[in-house]
Amino acid sequence: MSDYAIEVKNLHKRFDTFTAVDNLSFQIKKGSVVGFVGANGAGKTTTMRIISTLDLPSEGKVWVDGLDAINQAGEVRKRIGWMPDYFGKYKNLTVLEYLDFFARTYGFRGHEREERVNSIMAFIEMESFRHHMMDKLSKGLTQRMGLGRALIHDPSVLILDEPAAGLDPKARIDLKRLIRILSEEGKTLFISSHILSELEEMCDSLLFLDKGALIHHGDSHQLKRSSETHIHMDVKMSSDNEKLYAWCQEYPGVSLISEHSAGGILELDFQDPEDRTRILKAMLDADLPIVDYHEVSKRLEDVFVNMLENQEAE
Amino acid sequence: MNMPRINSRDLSDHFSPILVKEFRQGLRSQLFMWAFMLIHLFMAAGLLLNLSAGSSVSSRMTTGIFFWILVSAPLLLFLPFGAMGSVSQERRDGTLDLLQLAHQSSFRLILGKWMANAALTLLLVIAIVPYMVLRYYLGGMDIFADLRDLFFVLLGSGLLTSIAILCSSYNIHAFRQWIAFLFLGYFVLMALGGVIVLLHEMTYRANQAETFQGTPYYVFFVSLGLLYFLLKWATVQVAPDSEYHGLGILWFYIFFMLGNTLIAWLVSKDGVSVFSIIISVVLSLLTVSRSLAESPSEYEGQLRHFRKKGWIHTVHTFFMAPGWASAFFFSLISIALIFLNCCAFDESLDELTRHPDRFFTIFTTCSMAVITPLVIGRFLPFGPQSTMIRGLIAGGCMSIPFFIYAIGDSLDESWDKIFLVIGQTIPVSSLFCMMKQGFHRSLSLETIWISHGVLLIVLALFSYRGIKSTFALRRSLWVNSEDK
Repeated sequence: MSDYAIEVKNLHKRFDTFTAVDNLSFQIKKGSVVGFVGANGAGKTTTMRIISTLDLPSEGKVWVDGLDAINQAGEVRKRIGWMPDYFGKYKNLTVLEYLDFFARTYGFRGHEREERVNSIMAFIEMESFRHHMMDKLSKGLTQRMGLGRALIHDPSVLILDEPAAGLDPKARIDLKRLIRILSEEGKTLFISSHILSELEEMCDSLLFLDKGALIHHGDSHQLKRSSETHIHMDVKMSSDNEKLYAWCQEYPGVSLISEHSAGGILELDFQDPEDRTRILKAMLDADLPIVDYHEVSKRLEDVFVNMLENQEAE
Repeated sequence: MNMPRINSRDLSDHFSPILVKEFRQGLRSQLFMWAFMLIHLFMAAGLLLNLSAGSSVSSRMTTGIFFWILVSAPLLLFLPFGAMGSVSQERRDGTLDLLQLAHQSSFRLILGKWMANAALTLLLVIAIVPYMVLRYYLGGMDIFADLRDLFFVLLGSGLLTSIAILCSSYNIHAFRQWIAFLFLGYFVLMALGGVIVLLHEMTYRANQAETFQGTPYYVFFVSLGLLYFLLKWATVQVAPDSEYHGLGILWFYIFFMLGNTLIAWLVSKDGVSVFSIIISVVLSLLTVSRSLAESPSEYEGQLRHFRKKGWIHTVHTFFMAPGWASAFFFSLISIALIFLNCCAFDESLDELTRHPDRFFTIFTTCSMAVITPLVIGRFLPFGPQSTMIRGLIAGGCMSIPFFIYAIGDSLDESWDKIFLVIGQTIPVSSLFCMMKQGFHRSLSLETIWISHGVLLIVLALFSYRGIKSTFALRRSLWVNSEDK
């Protein structure tokens, strides 16, 4: 058996003259949570649809749990739970009937079906909504039900396309908690999202896609480090900025890039974490009245935008 | 991963999940509730009419016709109407993908939808039964004739439902779906003749002039065949790239055409043979239109199926794989099968060859009916999504012979038989007319030959580059696929 839950090799998908996915290759280890990031039209959904056996690639290979997603689509579908970026609701059906229907399609019969539906309902905490009509549910509840549907056959790999899109903060927190539980159960999760801060919290690693091609694969810290050429430090002082400004003019490798009422943001031309201590010591030695000194961490969104700009420039 | 065990508990476990879901949804739909209420209202009105009618046979027959018109309205209109949005709704909501992932093949999906609609229709029919019993006690009805009529109405409802599902499987605007539904519904039902037979029977019963002359077995056989064909066609429309149903529908078409000819020949003494020719033409048009709908840009994905089966190196892939080449190939088969049908109608080929005029008329009409719409549909400047426009053009093209015959007939002053032309579906009326000896004179024949010839030459000139490039694309895919 393969160590990888998902393997993609030299994947291409073309629609007439437009190339949606361009020679994409990556591997996702079993039990990991991987985020899939890219601008609109970068090819995320197309890639996810090919992995989920819903579309065929123009070229390339995809394996899920070591099974060929093109020639063994039936087997792959048993292992995959797919939650698209739309709700996939049916009108005139209750929550119970909706889950019951999908349990039937996966071959659950009689008591077994009942038990399966009940356990899923308990997991997504929707027992009290079981007789509610689907079209009357809020977005958050509908999304939870979509997750329940994707889990009904107990898949080992979950592919979630924009699961948090359009949800309110409370619903997002609920969804994140459910994803965390699934990850602890050992399921492999492949999640695309535009909300990078959430992906950063949930995911072991991130895949960045631009114009159908992979531009980065690694964890968020690695990504931030690789994109950083400077360290930014926020300095607060008990007096005005004149002393700080004068000190920065004299000290090599340090510049004041922005100011606030008492202090400012320093840009250090160093990468070593020990340099931060050295700079603090130098400021204290120069009698600067420092009351707070901490690193300003870069947001993942900024890193992503920088990465896209660099890619564009290249 | 949980592997489910079969542990049947309730009745619904024995049915397709799609059927169960659709039935649940259908029972709650507003349309079904309205149809249910209307049918009771209509039945009550029908009974009142029966009570108020005189005791004469003719007035009872008249109320009988009213009764059946009232029964047919909800069954032939309401429920097929409900199926109009069945697949397009799934497409809009994105639930088709979810079903495909849940091991529901496209054919099971389409069949489940049709069966759920049929089950709802049966529920309405059950609601009619008490009124039928009352009608029986009021007198003046033939219970067997009523049951047979009900059967034909159900058959018609089933066929219309399958057409509605087919139309809704196209990714087009609802208004265009409606146009297509009306067009195809009229086309298929009239060609089938089921409704004609029913109306014919009711009319003649009312006049006490003649008894039922149709051949129900033939109509039943053809209805089932058409039903399967239409559902299979809808399946092709909703199937993802990884499923391929195009080949199955082509094979079914060939066997069905042969069966149609055989049964028509066996029951020819009952006078249904002309229907068999009409059915052949209808089915040919549908098959060729469907082949046309397969865009060259889809070839690569679809050829994958042939490659997987190891057939890619064979010559027959060139003709059997989807697209223009197979459409052309099947149009030739269509002509051969229609010709075979005509021979069966005329009892022998010798009989046909003794009348060269008829031979040439059959040939040119078949060319017009099959090859011309094929060429027009493929090469007129419409986008790959304009399948329905192509279908309508093909249908319109087939109606040209009708107008030519009609003009010829008007010049010949043979308008007395024009009712037969209008009574049949327009595109195939020319064949129907053709079978009636003496119906047209040489003027209309000459006109049709000349117009067909000119049109084909013009089309051939216009489509030369298109044909060349399509074949070049096909050949390159065929050759390249050997390397993959």
